[in-house]
Amino acid sequence: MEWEIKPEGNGNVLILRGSATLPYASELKDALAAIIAASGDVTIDVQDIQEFDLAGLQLLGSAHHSAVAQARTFQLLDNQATFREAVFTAGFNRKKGCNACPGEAPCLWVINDQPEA
Amino acid sequence: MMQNDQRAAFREEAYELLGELETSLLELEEQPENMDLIGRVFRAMHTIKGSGSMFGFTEVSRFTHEVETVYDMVRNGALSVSPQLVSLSLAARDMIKELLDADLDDGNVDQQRVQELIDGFRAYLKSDSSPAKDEVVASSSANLPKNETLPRVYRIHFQPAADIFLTGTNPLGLLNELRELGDCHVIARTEQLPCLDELEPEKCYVGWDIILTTERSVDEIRDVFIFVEDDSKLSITLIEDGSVEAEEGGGSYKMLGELLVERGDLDKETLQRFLDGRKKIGELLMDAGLVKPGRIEAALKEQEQVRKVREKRQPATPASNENQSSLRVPADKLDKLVDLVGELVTVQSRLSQTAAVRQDAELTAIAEEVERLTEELRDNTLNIRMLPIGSTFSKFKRLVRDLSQDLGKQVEMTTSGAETELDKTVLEKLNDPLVHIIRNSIDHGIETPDVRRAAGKPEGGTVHLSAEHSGDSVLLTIRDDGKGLDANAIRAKAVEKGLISETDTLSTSELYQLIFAPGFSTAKTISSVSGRGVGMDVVKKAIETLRGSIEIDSAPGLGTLLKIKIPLTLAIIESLLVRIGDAHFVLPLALVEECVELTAADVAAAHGRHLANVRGQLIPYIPLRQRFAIDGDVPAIQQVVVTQVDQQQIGFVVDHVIGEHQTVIKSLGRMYKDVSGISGATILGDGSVALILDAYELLHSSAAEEARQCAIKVA
Repeated sequence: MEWEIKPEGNGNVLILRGSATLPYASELKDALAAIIAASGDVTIDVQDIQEFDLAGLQLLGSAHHSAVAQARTFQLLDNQATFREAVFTAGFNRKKGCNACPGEAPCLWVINDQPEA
Repeated sequence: MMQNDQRAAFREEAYELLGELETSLLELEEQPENMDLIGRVFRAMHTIKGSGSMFGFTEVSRFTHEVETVYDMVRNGALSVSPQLVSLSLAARDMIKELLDADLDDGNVDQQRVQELIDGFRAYLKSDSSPAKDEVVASSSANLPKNETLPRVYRIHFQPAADIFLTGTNPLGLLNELRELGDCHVIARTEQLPCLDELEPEKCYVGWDIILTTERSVDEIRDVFIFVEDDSKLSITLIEDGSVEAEEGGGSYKMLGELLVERGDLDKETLQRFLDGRKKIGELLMDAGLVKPGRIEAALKEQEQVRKVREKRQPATPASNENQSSLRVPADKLDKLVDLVGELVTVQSRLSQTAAVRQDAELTAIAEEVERLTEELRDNTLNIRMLPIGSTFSKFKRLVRDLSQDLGKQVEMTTSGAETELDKTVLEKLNDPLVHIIRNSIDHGIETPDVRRAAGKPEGGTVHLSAEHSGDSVLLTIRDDGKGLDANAIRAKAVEKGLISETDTLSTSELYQLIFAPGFSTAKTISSVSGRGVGMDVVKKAIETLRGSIEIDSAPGLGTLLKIKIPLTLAIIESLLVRIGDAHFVLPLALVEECVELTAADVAAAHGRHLANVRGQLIPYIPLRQRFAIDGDVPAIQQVVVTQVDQQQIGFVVDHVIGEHQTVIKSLGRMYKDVSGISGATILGDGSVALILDAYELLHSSAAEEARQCAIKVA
């Protein structure tokens, strides 16, 4: 698992590479904690993540909670089938925002098109 | 008129449902957690209530409603099944029957008893019979049927242990396994997910609501979780199984609010408060933060799946009914049909005979064609009247249950061959003898639990009923594992009653047969159950009236076995046609073993005794010419029809054996009901009458006569 944080716009973007899975969960947590600790909008770029599992999704969800709790914008750059597939497999996808999301705020789990089996 | 027909049809259907209900309740007593049985009981009550109300059986409907209410709660897991509920339900079943009977006979029903039962059910609703939530879930999942092919919708909640990752289990793998079982919708519960600083990455914080539509059983679903179930919270609830509401309610399902309450996501009061709003209930509740969006989505998904399943099933229901295309026909119409077929068989026989006499090839061809069709029609008509014996068996389960409770014994009734079919009339007439035999088995055969324990037997006794086809008969066996017959007691009683003398030497088997003698009983006390000394002889007579036979065997300490052989039908039988002088007689072919010649020399060699030497074996015979006082010359060579009656070989001497004959049985009428040795009559092809020989009666009256002659000689 490799990661780096780059400033972008009103906040920062965390670029993740490798596997967002249980063996790398501690590193992923560190990376996410780092961007949450920074100020401004939070953007997580998972486009280069090859693998997600429940531990990885939990960490992203938790980071999302933390950001929303701090009234910060949380955005995910996924644009890849791997992430969507993991989200649908784990049942994290929502039609409306998740529990943490206030009102009409965009939620990382709102994915309308299910990946093809 | 139409209304009357409909009411009669409802009554008939209700009686049928009550029969099934009794069976289901008795099974439920043994398997109180079987959701399939609970569903069956509920549906029976629901149908009786609904249809009863429709056809004006208000009292039936009102009463049944009380029972249905309880079973609805049992079905939903709010109440559990207890022996008390089963007893109450059986009493309610009897009461519904009574209410139906009263409507038919314009009779009265004990209203106090009705109210007592209603109060009983209402009290049960308030009783503390609610199982703990976990138990409900476990019970609802424990015994669902496996091989049902209709899709069912399950609501699964799975909350893995927090340390599931450490055990090497991937929860997502389990979800994928579930997906292989059917249409699966997974909604994660993420409310427990903490903020990042509190999160331990190796712990699992997520649970799932899963709506699974599958044909698989709950056990097969549970198997997916077999390695994690102990440490996880798992509930599997069947929410759609093709119940009556599903069929009647079209594709609809519970409203979202109702569903959320049922799923435990919302309380009723809050729901009521929000139902007045104009917005959709889901949105309102989410806006108010009362229900998490994930829960709303899970409930909506459940609603959607159940609707889909029900909509799919809707068009299938009428079609499948059409395919079954069964008709409900009053029994008397069937009886009339059988009578007509009987007449047709007689006319056909006459036609065949006429064709044979005239030697007209064209007529013979027509006669053969008519014969073929008549046989086919006869077989089909008799088949229509065939009913599986299982319905009679299930009545006995209730009898066994009630009797064993009354007598403080533990008795289980097992059955086999319930699918064996018998003519409706035979089945009806078999009921009373079987009831008596079973009563005897339980009252005199099966010991009390302490006696059984002392004898090294299991405390609970067994009465096993079986039925199987045996040629053109059905063999019924009733076996118990009680104390068996006491040969010494039977002997002593027989001597006391004058049935045998003290010096008579009888085999054990012959001693056992004495229990069928009139007035015989070895019971020391007379109970309400059996033992009035009018039992087994009546049973034997009833079986013989059915042209059947009964045998008994017993092993002391191990139990008793009764074998009853009954012809499949009473209407038309295969028989052997014989002639004595100008008179024709028929003997049921099932009894006949062989026919042998009897010459004047054979008679002389027996020195006046009625014994035929058949391949070195002496077989007693009854000369029917003599028995029926028929005048005329005896042919030089007579025929002995050797039969097997009451476990013994007996010959009937006739002038000629004509051959096999299809006998349409006609009763002799009241005037001749006391004629001994004849059980009925049949019409032959030439229009003449042949009498049906009652082999049992002939044997017994002959034996009695012989005994009388001996007594006279001794005197």
